[in-house]
Amino acid sequence: MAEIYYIEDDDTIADIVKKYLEQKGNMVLIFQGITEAFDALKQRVPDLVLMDFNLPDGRGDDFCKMLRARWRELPIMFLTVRNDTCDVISGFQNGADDYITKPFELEVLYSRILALLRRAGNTAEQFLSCGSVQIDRAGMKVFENGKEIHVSYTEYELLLTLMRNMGKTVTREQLLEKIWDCSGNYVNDNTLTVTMKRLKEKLHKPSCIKTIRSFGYRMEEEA
Amino acid sequence: MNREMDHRRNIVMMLSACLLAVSLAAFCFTSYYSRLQFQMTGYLCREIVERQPESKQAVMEALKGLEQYSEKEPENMLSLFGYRQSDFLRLYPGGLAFAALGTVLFAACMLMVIRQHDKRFQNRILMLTDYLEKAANPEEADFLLAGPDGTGMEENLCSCLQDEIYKTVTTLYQTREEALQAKKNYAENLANIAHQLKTPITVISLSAQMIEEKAYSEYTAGIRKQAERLAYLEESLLVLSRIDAGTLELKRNEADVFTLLMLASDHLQELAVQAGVGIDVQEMGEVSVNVDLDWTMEAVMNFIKNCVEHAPAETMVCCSYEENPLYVQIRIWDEGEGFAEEDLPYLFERFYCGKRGKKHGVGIGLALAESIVEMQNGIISAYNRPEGGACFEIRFYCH
Repeated sequence: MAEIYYIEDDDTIADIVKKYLEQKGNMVLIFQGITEAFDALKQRVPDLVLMDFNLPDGRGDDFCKMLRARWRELPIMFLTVRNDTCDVISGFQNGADDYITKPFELEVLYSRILALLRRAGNTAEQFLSCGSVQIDRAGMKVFENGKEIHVSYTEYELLLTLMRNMGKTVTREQLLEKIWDCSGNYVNDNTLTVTMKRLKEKLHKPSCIKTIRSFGYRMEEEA
Repeated sequence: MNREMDHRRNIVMMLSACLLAVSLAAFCFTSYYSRLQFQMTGYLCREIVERQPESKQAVMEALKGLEQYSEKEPENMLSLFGYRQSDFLRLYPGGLAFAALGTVLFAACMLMVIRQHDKRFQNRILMLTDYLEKAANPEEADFLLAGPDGTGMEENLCSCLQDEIYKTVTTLYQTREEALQAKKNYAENLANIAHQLKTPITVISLSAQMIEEKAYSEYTAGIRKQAERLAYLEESLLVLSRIDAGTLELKRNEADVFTLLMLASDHLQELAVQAGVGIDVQEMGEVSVNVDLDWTMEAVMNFIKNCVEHAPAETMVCCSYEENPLYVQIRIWDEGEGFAEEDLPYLFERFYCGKRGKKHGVGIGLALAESIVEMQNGIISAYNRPEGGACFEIRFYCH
């Protein structure tokens, strides 16, 4: 059971989401605006924060930045009508972990929430797994449904980065920096795309690697 | 006003300088001629007295009579001897040279003044031309509002022209600002309406989903599907209006074509799996094109989507690209039955639903994609491949 704070000024939507998530056994508190939510957060920090972008007393991305500065690990998810690329990017850049545009599927929302909640504590273990894919970090090996798959070093690094950030979107820029720039090789978008394509093909196009529009990639366990 | 005063003072000063010069010249000439006359009369007298000493008395009397001399002498005696006035001119070569020099100097001065005036006039016209040229460029707003530089320029017809040009340009600029603001307001209103519309669509969709949670019914499925369509329509119409209003901002950067195609195909993976169609993006190496990655991907997605929707199950939709010195070309083709011949000319027209269009198509996707491609110096064409199947061809020219 998770405790979720939901900041939304539209009553009907807030009600439906609250009811749905409560049916799934979560506790949901609704806040109409930023000030109200911030006061409550100071009292008690929930497991996850859901928020709208347009709020009566401010913008969601500003609030998100504020939250991120105070609580580094708190999972934050946007639920908004704004689907312009610049809004999505601004949301992620200000520290959001996920961004869902309205109208949305309740099931999708729930699976994303689960993915976000699951990621905590999944980063330091020897074996990481997501869907049909497993990684053995000690042996630097990748398995698909228990069968070992031979991948190149960069493909392995790419997969590892995504798995360590499971449920969280990793931007293309972050991937380029993390995987290639450290080893001093000059790379560009084309190399990343080609590597990603090869990796997906080797893993038989697993549904757990998602492409996030105008942002990057994310590993996500199926609900 | 100040400039006018200066102008007047200049004229007064010039006039007084001229007067001074003229009176000085008059004084010089008078004294010169009186000396000449004195010498000449002296010479004549001496000659006469030397030849006929007895006439001395008569000459002296005649000289006295000079005081009664008037210009109305009935006839000059010299004319009787056959002399003319012009015969005396060569007696004063200095005077002639002086006159010639004066004329030349005067002409040179006049020429210089005219030249300078002309040059100033030309400079002014050049400046005004420059100003007007810059007026055509909206980047120069500050320059425009400062007006043409008129410092140190004299007041004349050009100034009136300059004032009128400045007024016209300012008015034009204001009109442009207003038009831009109106466009911006329009786009903002559109975005607002779009966001407002999405809330009820979301509520409808969520409510249907909640009903389904309790009991699945084909009616709720219908509601959800229509809500989805409504959201898609609303979004597409918003983009179309933004394109029409010129407020869709494209951030053009060097983008990798393979990445562009892969991202588009990734986003359509779900749809392709449902249709049992594979999407294959051929690796043709690194080719970059100067476009807005997100919007171009949106456009490419519409083409791929169209192919996926018309491809028979178990076939492939292929994307390929190539580069030559003139353009970058992207081709997307399927192995379906191709376009209907009569649809071909109208494929990219808004709201055109072709003969082989899908049942619920509204004819927005391809029109939208075409607009986005064309806004980025691209050209889109569609044809049926000789071996069967539809093909979209996009070319981005490198200028």
